[in-house]
Amino acid sequence: MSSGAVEAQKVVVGKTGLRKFLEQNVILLVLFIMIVFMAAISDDFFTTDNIINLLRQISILGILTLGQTFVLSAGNFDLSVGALLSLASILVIGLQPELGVGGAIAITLVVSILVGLCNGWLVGRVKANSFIVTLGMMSLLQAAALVFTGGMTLQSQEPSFATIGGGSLGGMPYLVLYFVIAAILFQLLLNHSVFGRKVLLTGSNSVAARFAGVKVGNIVSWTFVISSLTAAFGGILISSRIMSASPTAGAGMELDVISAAVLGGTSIYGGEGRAYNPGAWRTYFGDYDELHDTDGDSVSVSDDDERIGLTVCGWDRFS
Amino acid sequence: MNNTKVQKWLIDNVSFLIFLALFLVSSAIASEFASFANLNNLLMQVSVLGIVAIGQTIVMIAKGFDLSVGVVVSLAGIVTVYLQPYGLVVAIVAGILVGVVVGMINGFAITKLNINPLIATLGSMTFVGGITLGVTNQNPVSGTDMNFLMLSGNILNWVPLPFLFLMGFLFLTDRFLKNYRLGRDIFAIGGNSDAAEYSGIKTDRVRFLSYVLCSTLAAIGGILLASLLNTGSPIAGNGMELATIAAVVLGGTKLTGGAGSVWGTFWGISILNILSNLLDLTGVMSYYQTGLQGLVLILVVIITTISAKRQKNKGGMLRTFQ
Repeated sequence: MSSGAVEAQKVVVGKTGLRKFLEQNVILLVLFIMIVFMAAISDDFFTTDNIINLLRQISILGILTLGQTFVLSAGNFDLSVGALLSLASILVIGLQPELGVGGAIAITLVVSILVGLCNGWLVGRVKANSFIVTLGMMSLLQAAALVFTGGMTLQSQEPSFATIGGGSLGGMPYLVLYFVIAAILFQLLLNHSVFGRKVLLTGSNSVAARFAGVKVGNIVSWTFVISSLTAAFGGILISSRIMSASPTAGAGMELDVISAAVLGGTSIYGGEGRAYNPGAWRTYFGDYDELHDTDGDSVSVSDDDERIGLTVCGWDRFS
Repeated sequence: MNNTKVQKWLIDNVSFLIFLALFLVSSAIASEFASFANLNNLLMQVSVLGIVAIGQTIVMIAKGFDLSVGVVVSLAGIVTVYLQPYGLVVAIVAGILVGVVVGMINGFAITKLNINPLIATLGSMTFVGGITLGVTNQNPVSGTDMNFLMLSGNILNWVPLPFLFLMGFLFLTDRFLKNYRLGRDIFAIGGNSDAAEYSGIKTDRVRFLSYVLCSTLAAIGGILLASLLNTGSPIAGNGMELATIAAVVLGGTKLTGGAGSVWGTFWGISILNILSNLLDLTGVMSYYQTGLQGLVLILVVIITTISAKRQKNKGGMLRTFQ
């Protein structure tokens, strides 16, 4: 049975506000149960340190997921975000000796916008398949990052750079603040603005969108620019936090980012998407890691369990 | 054959033509390319990935995804190598069973629990990948039975046996998809699942079957690869999931389902393999190889997209059952 048709029917019939909200946001319920569960079995869970640490861990992936949500909502994929994160983190440190911190950040952002425009042009205008285009772009960017550093890790020599990702405001790390601000902004942009409505319309039916006067190609290009910018921003934050950059820092991140967005309620076939939920999901994702960390399990085991958790969680969301 | 027919043929076979061009360029650039040893090696490489990609094509025509094929390749190879002391037939049957079981788990999760295919198969990819690493303790296992190597040997000293397997599977799957009711059902589900359901197709059952077929073919590919290497490696299939999806899409199967062909996928796989072979032969540094492959992938998809658009503009029917 197609769940899409059934869901559509439910919406037409109408539900009371709270029940409808809960049905659309099972992931929040799962998250809540997970938090209660964690708190019950681990004394350290509700300490300020742990919560802040948890939030810091999810922030960078969360920011990337917000960008990916736009691309998915318009009916495409962006597989190049992981490699772009690597390239951005390399560029922002590699260019510091010549250009200073500000210049390096500016160039990094410009490069990411160019990458986004390139993806967007190929997908939006040439109408090439986004999966293949961004897969190709992923290889290109990965190669660029490796060639730039010769496969080595770079270190930053500018102490002022560390505050961007390492600083905190009244105990709350900047990273978390960026994520929260970005989540609010992106939610407003996706579900409460003309641009967002156009993105969702493009994703659900691009032909109808074109007849309704939406410049589909431009909208698609913008979604890729947004996704690339979030990836570059993530790369800058990672570099700043650890003051070094590896050419493979973001390898494999694209699948994590896409699954987080999908679990948050974004359809991979476009037309449905919410920006706030990926954040909620991410918290849960982080929780799971944290539980194992406090229990002293090895990382590889918790990695596996995390994905099982992911599958279980997917069941809750999609059944 | 008039002019429009020629054009239609060219556009229909654009992935084959790209392959042909790459083949000629490779023979011209690298003198070793056309050598017997290299071509033989190339056929072998195409065979394993090709068999895995056939399964991926079936799933993707039904508007699904299977990200778990890579780990199934690894695990099936390992199980087969492990069980060799109990006899080759037992070992191979067990290896194939690995695929059947993983396929059933995927199919169950996707059809009965309604999990998104991307998430479900990503989950089983990590889950099965974890089992694979756990079973082998992250070390490759070496084979003990020399007869096992015959599976990947040459026929008449020329064609690798796996290539004959590939041709057989391509032919059978092509017939199955085009001429059998179940095959047409797969296209129908990919095109419009609701319409298929209302017209009496048991969509859940067909979709379930597509995942079982896909994992089974992946397991067969894994067994052949293990025979070639005489080793079951826990990382043998790494990266195959994205490579096969790329090949399937290059071959003209739509990500949104309902259209595609296994022969297209075969040319897609051939393009990817010949490209990396050429780069190896010409001694390009591996970093640049990654970049060049990305660039060519983008170029190829631009060519196929533009030619498909032309075809549509000319008023030709879009290929559905081809």
